[in-house]
Order: sequence, then structure tokens, then C-alpha cells
Amino acid sequence: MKVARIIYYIICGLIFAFIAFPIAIVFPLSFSEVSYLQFPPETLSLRWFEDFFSDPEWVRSILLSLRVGATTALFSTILGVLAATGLNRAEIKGKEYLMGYLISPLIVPLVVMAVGIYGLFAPWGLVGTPLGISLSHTVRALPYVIINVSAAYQTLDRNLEWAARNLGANPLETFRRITFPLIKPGIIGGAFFAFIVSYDEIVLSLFLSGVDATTLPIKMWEGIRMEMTPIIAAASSIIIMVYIILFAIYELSKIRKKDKQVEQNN
Amino acid sequence: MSVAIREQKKVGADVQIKNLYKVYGDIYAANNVSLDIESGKFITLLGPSGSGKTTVLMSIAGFVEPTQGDIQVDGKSIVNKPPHLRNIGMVFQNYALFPHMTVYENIAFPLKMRKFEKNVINEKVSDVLEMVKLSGYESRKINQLSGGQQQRIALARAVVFNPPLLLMDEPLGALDRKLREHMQLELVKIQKALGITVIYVTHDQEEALVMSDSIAILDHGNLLQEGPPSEVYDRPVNHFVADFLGESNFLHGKIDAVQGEDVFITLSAGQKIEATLRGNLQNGEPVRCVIRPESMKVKSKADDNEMHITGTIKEVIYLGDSIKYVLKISEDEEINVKVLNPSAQEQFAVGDTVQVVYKKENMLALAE
Repeated sequence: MKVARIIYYIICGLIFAFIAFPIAIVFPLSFSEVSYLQFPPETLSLRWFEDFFSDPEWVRSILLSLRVGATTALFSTILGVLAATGLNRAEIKGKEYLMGYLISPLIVPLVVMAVGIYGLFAPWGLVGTPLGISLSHTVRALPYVIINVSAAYQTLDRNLEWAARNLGANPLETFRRITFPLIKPGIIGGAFFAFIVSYDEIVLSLFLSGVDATTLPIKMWEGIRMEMTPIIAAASSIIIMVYIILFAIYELSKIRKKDKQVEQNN
Repeated sequence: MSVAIREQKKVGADVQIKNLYKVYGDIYAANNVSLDIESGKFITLLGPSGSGKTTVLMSIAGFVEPTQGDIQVDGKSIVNKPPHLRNIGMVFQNYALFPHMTVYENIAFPLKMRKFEKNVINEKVSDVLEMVKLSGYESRKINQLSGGQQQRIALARAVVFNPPLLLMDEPLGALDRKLREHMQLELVKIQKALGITVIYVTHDQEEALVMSDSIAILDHGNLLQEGPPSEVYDRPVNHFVADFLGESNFLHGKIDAVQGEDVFITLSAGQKIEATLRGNLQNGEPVRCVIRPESMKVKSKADDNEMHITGTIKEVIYLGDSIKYVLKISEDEEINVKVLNPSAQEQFAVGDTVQVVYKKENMLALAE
């Protein structure tokens, strides 16, 4: 049925286009010469990237986002690995409920969470600080790490840990030498997720940002409300490029591992 | 035998399992199991799935905590020792080789945990690889090995630190038949050379018969019988054991008289037979007799002093080295008789009326 095939391809194409649309627009926009949003751009220039990197406020915001992202990744990975280990290895009654509770930030409305966290952090002086933002992002990112590491635990053969214990390794040595190396891909995947969740995050950041703590998404949001210049598009392009680089690193590291294995097999 | 093996000769451990219970809710995975295992012996825990054999093995290894009871190795109780301090070798069903380590690193692992020096580790690893006939495989990755090779590496890793006791949980299950049969003999050879005590778990009764010094038969958590293969096979203590090991015929009847070890029985179709008593039975009680197909003979006419049952041949099954006759001895009862070396004997055809000749000591009377 050729017609059905064609319709199928058209629908798929439209869906792909819809998904890629924002990115496809933003990239060319950031290279436009004129100081208003013109699509498609008539002349190309790098002036907006120049403007971006020469503006201390933009640079500060991107550095802060990177810093907060890294901190969030660190906190949520440590906590997430501990949580996933407990959920997958300890004998606890009501484990499923505990897991549900730890994953709930995924379904709790962000604004509700943000108001609550604001109310909690304000008297502690954490509002408007990078630490405050990192902590709130950690809550948001933790479920991703827990899910990723738990998935790694599910595929880990329990007998391997038992074998290590039987051969003389105490629980800590077993974790260090056997469990950890084998769940590492899950941990790294979780850490990546945590970073991306934080880097992209606007709702919690909005509530908790301050003059000294403005993340890139917030700066962009302010930028759109105040000045609609392509510098916003440049900022977006930079974010996209950071993601592309991160994913490239991750995928390349997987390919190199596969190549190594193939080499050894021959 | 290489010099290395002789130097490694260690005395195997004495193991005693005393009244072991493991209860999960209502289920008795192990129900008052007691076993005495002598140093250097190869004992098999044999039974179907759910019989409790793995529960017992895991209790010895330390991964299952007994509800009640004690386990002693060389006179010392080990039930309160964590698994990593029990110094027991173990081969898992799926080998459990560490996938992110090489063969060398896998085998060296227990030695590393015991803080041996590098050059001692190197020596021991290469000695044990020689013993399992995989010298030179040190730098291979686990996923590059075949199933049989993985099995041997798992064994090497389990014995390299000279434990006095080795546990094996159906280690040959994943291998094809020829390799499995070869490995059965190899394992016993290695065990005898090392002098190590082995507790082996399997559901394969042939494997148990081939490899063991002693077989312990379990069913639903209960230890039914323990003894050398010939004893468990020829003198089963009940129907489960008789049925589980090899093939058995079951004949129903009622007891006419008991004289010491001799029992006189009338079968349900009226034939009178004599049997050997195995169990507490009284006159008039219903009884089931067990006799193995290969312990009977088929003749057209029985001699005067031979005990026999009359039957009609229903089926003749040619098995190459033997013939199996399926015989009707009554309206609804059949027995199988296996005749070895059939070409040297009288041959019968379907429909022939024959005498099934048996010996009293092979006809066992067990309680119904």
C-alpha cells in the first residue's frame, strides 16, 4: 500500500520536524547580523557570540550554571548511589513505598516544590545563593540518578557479589571491587542526567535566584522580557553545543570501550 | 600428576550438619537435616527442584541463615561466621566469574583477599591453571571463554586458595552431554588428587551415581536416605528414593505373613510373591513392592527353585545394548523388564506368555 507508506513517512517527518523545530530556528538566528529576531537571517555574523562573551553578566551566568550543574551532579550522584544501593540490596519493609517517595520529585508540580523550598530556605539565608540553587536542583535530579543506578543494579548478577564474599571479600571490598565497577555506567549516566536537569532548570532557579546568583536560563528569561535581541539565541546555541559536546564525550567513551574489547577478542 | 598438585595436598574438612531447619513462613525448605561428612569424601545432595538441596548448600556457604540447627567444619561451628570468613570454596551454577576482570584476576582474587604476595599469587595461579588444563589463559577476558572453559576457571578460582571444603551447585548443568560426562570424571579426579571434601548439588541422578562416594537424597526439605550409591540404588528406603534413582516397578498387594526379613505377599491380582522387608509392616497391611527392571529375567519356563510371576508381553523395545519388555501381569498392572546382552538369550515377541524370574532380595516391600 504505497499511499499508506507515504502518509506514514509524512507524519513521521512532521513529528521529527516539530521536535527539531526550536533548535533549527535558534541556531541560524544566533548567527544573524541584525539586532532583532529575523528568520531566516539575511546576513551572518558572530557579533552576538562576541557580545555574549564580552558581557560580564552573561559570562557570570554561564559559569554559575556550570558550577551549579556540577555541584548538583555531585550531590545527587552521591546520594543517589547510596539510595539505590539501599533500595536494591538492603532488607527493608516497604521498599517500594520508600522508592516511590524518593522518586516523587518527578511528579510533584515544580512550582509547588519551589514555593515550599523557598519558604524553607529563606530563614536559613539560602535564597539567592549558589548553594541554595544547587540543593534545590539536587532534589529535582535525585530521582534520575536513583532510577539509573537501580537499573544498573537490576542487571547486575547477584551471584557475582556472593562469589566475591565467598572468596574472602568483606561487604566494603565487595562493593569497591565488584559492584561499583559494574554499576559505573549507570552511575555515570545518572550523573549526566543530573547535570542536564540542573543546567536546564528554570522554575526552582527563578524562586531561589538572586542578584549574586543568576543562572543562564534565568538570564535568558530576563533577557527575553527586556531585550529581544539575538543574544538570547546565541545563549541558547551555546547551551545546545554544551549538550552536544557532553553526549559526544559519553558516546565516544562507549565506542572506545567497544573497540578495546574487539581488539582483545582478536 | 604434576608436582604442584602433590605439594598442594591438603586434608579435607570434616563437616557436620546438625538438625538444620530453614523455615519461610509455612514452608520448611530444610526440615531437620542432619549429615555427617568425612574428610576427603565426595557427597552429593540429590533431589528435585525445591527439595532443599540448594538451601542446605547455601546455609553452609553462609548466604542462608538457618532458622535452627548447627553446621560444623572440623569441629568448629560456622553458623555465626560471615561468608567471607568461612574459607570455603564454591562453584556457582552460572560460574559467577567477574566479567570485568581477566582470567588471572579472577583466580587471583581470593589470594589477593588473603594478602598473598605477588610472586606467590603468580605461582599459585599458574599451578591451578595447569591443573584444569588451561595454562596460558591468564590474560583472556571472561567473555572470550567457552562454557566448558568458564566452568574450569570457576573451579580453579574456588580451589586456588586450598580450602578444606568445596561446594558445587549444579556446576555442569549448562554443558552439553559429552562435555558434561567428561567433566564429571575430571572433577572427581581433581578432587581425589587434592584430598578436598566436596559437597555437590544436582538433580541429575546419573551424575550423582557416577561421581559420589555418598548420596544424600532430599525431598521437600527432608533427608530421606544417605549412603553409597550402590546402597541407595539397591536398597531404597522408600518409594520416592526408589523412583528417583533409576527405574522402578511398583507392585501393589497385601501382606500375608512377615517372618523376620521375609515377607509373603498376595498381589492385587492374586499372585503370591516373596519379598524382603524394608520398613515397618504388619500382617494384613497394604504394601507396595519395588523391583528394578534390570534385576529380573524373562524365561519361557521357570526352574523349580526360582520365584516367578507370569506375564504376557505387551511391548518389545530394542535399546541397542539391551531389550526392554513391557509385560502385563494382571488386568491393570504392568512391569518393565530390562534384559542386557539380548542376543545371547532367548528372545520373545509380543503376545508370548512368559515367566518373569526374580530374586527375593531384589523385591523390596515398602510401606504404602
